Amino acid sequence: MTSFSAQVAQNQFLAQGADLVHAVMSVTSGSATAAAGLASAGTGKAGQTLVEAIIVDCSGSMDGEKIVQTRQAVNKAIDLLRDDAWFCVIAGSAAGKLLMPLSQATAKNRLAAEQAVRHLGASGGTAMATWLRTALVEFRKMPDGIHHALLLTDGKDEGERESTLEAALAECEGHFQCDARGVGTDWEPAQLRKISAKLLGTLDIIPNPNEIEADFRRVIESAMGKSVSNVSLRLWTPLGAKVEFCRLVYPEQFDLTNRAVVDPKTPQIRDYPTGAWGEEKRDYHMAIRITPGKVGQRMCAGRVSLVINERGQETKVAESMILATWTDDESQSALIHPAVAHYTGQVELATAIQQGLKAREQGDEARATQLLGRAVQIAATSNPDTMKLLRKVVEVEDERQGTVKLRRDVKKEDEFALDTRSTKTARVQRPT
Amino acid sequence: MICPSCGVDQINEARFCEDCGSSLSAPASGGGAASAAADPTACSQCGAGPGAIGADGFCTTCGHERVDTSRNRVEIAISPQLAGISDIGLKHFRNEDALAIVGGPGGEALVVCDGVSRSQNPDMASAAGVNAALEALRGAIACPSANHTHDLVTAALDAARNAVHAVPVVQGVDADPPESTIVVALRRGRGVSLGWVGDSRAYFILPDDARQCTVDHSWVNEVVASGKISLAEALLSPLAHALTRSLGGPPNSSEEPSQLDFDLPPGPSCLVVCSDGLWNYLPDAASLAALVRAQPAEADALARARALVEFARDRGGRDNITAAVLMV
Repeated sequence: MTSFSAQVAQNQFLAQGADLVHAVMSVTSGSATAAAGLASAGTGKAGQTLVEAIIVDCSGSMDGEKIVQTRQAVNKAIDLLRDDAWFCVIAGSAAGKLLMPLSQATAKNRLAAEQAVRHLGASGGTAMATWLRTALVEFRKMPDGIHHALLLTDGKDEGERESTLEAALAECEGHFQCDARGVGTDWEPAQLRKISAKLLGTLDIIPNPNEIEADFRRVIESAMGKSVSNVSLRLWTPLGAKVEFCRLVYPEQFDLTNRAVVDPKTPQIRDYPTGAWGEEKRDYHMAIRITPGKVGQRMCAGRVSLVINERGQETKVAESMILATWTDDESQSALIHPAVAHYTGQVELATAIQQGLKAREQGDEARATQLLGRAVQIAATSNPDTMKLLRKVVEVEDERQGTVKLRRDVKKEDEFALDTRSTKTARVQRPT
Repeated sequence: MICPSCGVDQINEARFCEDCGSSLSAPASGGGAASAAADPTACSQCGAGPGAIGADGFCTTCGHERVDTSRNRVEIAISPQLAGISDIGLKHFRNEDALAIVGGPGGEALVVCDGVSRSQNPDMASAAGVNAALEALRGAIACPSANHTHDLVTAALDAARNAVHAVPVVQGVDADPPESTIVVALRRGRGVSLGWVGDSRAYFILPDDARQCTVDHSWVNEVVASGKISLAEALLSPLAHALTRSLGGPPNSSEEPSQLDFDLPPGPSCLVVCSDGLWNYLPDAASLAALVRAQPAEADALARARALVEFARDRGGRDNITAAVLMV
C-alpha cells in the first residue's frame, strides 16, 4: 500500500494589489501501511500488477550491432519481471508487429518470448503511431494494472504524418506511460520528447548499442517499483482564479498546465495527471492568479492534494493549503521563497539549453552563445549534473557572468545528452 | 447583472464581480455584512452559504478567510466619563485591534490590544488579550479590595499573555505564532496604574498639560536608549517603529511588560489609551490633547473618543484605530 505525505513551501505574503501566488508542493510517497487515514488508499495487496509493453524499433537502420544488442536487452528485461507481472513485445517498423501478445511472466511465457525475440530482424520503415496503437490494444486487455511501455528507436518517425503520431498519442494518453529511448544519434530529441511528454515518461539517449541492456534494466526496475497508478494532483482554486501554471519540477521539469482534467460540474477543481508512483519524492510548482485583497486579508488561494483513482473510487490524500495574505510590509512581500526561486531557475535552465541548442543547430551562434551562457550561469550554482553536460558543448570562461564559447568539436551524443537531460532538475536545498 | 460596487455588467451566473471582485449576491453596503454576521457559516465576502465556510475558516467558494465584520466598528460607552471606540480604518480588511472597558465601585479599567498583522490569527490574539485582562480585573472593579492596583495590572498582563499563547496556531503556515501588543490602565481614586507591552500607548491630559505616559517597546527607543545613534538618525530607519516586545510571537522574543504608577493631581483630568492607528497621526501628546480639549465642554467620553478616531480616519486611516477615554 502506498502512502503519501505533502508539504507546501511558499511566501504567502503579497504586496497590496499583487495577484500571483507561488507555491511548491513536495510530495513523498512510501509504502507505510500503518499511515493513518490511508486505510482505503491502496489495493489491499502489495500494489497493482505491472503490465509492461516493450516496444523496439526493427526498422532497416537497426541492422547489425544495434539489433543484436536489442535482442539481448529485451530478453534481460523480461527476465527481470516479477512472476505476477504481464508483458508483451512489439517489433516496430512500418507497422507495429505483436511479437509476443500480452502474457503473464511465467517461465513458459518467458521462454516463448525469448524464442520470438531471437527472430527479431531489422527491415522496413519507422511508423511509431502504429507501434503505440498496438500497445494500447494489449493494455486494454488488462485495464486494472500499472500500464508502462518502454520504447526504443534509432531513427526519426518517417513513415507517417506528424498528425498521425499526435492522434495516436491522444488515444494513448491516460492509458499508459511510456519511457522513450533513442539509441545512437540519428533520431530526433524533439520528436521523442513529444511521446515521452504526452505519455508522462522519461526521455534519454543511449549513445552506444552495448548500453541498451543496462538502460532497459533501470527502466524496468523503476517500473516495477511503482505500486499505484492513476494518481492525479488535484488543485482547488477560488472562484474566478486562474492557474497560471502547474509543473512537475523535481526530479524532472514537466509542464502540466494544459493537462488538467476538469469536470464541468466542479469547475473550481483541476486534476493533473501524475502517472504511477512508487517510493519517491516529487516537487510541483504552481502559480495561481487571484483577485487581490486588502491589506490584512487572508485567502485560501488553493488546496492541493493527491487523488488516487481505483475502479472509479477516488481517495484524496495529503491535502495542503496555499495561502495568500496581503501586507503593506514590503520586507515580507518582497521575499521569494527559496524553493520557488530555485525551481523557477531550473525551468529557465532547461528552456535556455533547449533553445540554445536549437539556435546552434540553425547557425545562430550569437543567440546560442547567449542562451547557453545563461544556462551555465544558472547550472553553475544549482545543478552540477547539467553543468557537466554543458561543459561538453561550451567552453566556460566565466561561470558567474555566464560567458562561454561554443565548442567546435562537439560530439553529437553529447549534444543529445544535454538536450534530453536538460529537463532533469536538482532538488532545492532544504535549510537544515 | 450589474455589479453594485463598480457598475460593470456581469455574466448571469457570476457570484462576484469579475472586474472589482465585489459580491453580486450580497448588497455592496453594510447590509451584506450584517446578514453574513448572522450566519457564521455564510461567507461575508462572496455571499456563498450557509455552510460555505469550511472548518478551517476559509470560504469553500471564494477562498477568503472568514472575517468577523462585527468588529469593524465597536463603540462602548460605560458612562459619560468612560467610553471607547475601535474602528477598522480605511485600508485594512479586518479590525485586528481589540478594546475592553469596565467601570464600577473599585474604579475603571481600559484595555487596548493591537494584533500584529504578520502573525497568525492576530485578530484572535488581540481579542484574547483584552478579554483575559478584563476578566482578571473585573473582580477588583466590582468590589474594591486591598490589592494594590500595581499588582492587579501585573496579574492582568500575565493573564493576557497566557491567553495570547493559547490562541490556535495553524500548522504548516509560514507565519509567526499569534502576537499582540497590550496597554492596560487602571484607576482607583487618584491612583493610576499602567502596564504595557509593545507600542499601544496611554496619555494623561490636564487642562494645561499633556504627557505620553508609556514608552513604546520599539526599535527607535531601544537604539536611542543604548546611546548608539541620535533620535533624529534613528527615526530615518525603516525599522524605527518596529516592535521589540509583544505578547506571543516568535519563540524567544521579549514579552517583558513595563509598568508605571502615579497619582492624578487634583482637578479635572483625562486618560487616553490607544493603538498606533491613532497616534501615527498625532505624533505628540500636545496635538492629541488639543483634539480632546477642542470638544465642547459638555462632550462626553464617547464624543471625545469619536473625535480622535475620526481624526485618524480623515487623515487616511491606514491602520485599525482604537481609542478609549476616561474623564476624571
